[in-house]
Amino acid sequence: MNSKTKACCKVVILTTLIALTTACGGNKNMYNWGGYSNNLLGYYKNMDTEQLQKFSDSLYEGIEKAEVKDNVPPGMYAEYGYTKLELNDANTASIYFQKEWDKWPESRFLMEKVMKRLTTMTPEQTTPSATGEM
Amino acid sequence: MNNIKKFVALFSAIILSACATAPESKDFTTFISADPHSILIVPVINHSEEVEAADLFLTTLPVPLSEKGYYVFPTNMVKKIMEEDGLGDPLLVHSADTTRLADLFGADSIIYVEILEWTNKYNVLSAGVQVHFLYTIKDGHDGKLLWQDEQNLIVDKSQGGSGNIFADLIATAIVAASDSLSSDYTYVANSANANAIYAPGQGIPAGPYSALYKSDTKQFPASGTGRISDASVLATSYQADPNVNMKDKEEKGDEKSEESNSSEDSDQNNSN
Repeated sequence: MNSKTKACCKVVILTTLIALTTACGGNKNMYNWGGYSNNLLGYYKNMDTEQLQKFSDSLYEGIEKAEVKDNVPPGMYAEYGYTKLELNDANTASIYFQKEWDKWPESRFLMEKVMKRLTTMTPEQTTPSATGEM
Repeated sequence: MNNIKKFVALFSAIILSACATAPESKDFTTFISADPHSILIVPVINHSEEVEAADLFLTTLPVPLSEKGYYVFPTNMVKKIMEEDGLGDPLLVHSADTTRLADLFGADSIIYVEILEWTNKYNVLSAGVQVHFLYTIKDGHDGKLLWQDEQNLIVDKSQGGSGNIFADLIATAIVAASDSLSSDYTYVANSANANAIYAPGQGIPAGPYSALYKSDTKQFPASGTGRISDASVLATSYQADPNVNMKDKEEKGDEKSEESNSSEDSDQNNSN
């Protein structure tokens, strides 16, 4: 093989490899995740209030961006709502649990359960531990 | 030119066979008739010595399952609720009755993942990791096994290389020494998840939010062979009789309430 043929082969290999990866996997995402997995991972590495706040903020930003193209992933509203609940903001929490309820019928059972808990609680009781007992 | 043609022919043959000659397809009869719309991700059991692996693995599951077209319950919220509810221990959760667990969240199905092995392999020329994962999806309404997959792979962490053996040697040593679990972890877990969930004939059919919903029956056939799993090991959610564990928990709970009742119960006090 001369050098020209070699170069040709390389191109062939490269293009087929690209074709292969696109054919066998690599689908375009349906949803805009906004770095959800990495942000959750960051929080799990250091589960303090500061990281919780950071995770919560990242969820909010992600939701804001995704709402533009109506591709908010399943669970995202509730996930954000729960971080707000943990940060003692029960009002925002309910709003986002309601959003999850509106968008995903599969979430309704759980969202109703959580929201019912929230409404029957006094403000002092709106800690995550109080809602956790189901 | 002839060489190139031969090469192209050979290469396309390899590619085609790589895509097509997958192992025998699983049987999706049960899965298709159960038609789950939602999946609950429960805490991951970690049998390996990488202590952080379980939580980290958890963070990689929501994306591929949602993108496959399912409603996936808010992973962190579910984890926290379970912890508050005394279900923080993955072993307990995996051994608990599937239908009762699903009832708590209103879930159509539950996915259980176990990390069977996570071992860093380090030698002079490469740094790799050997992983072995077991995925199990069970029906939330009747507890039946819907799908199971096992991934056993070695992932090379030192891809690439400079071509200079001495530089590579040093680079390998640095990679292995400074490797935080998470940086490669995500890559490894994502690769395994993609293999497990997306492989035609082996993964799971598209869910209701996917454009392919109910139109991918060729890739995920109801073949009737009964081959739902390719696993070589038993899942924890199967080893234990699920009902036994949940009953234990129930009885314990009942005992407690009986105890607290008995002090108030004058009849019982009198009879003692």
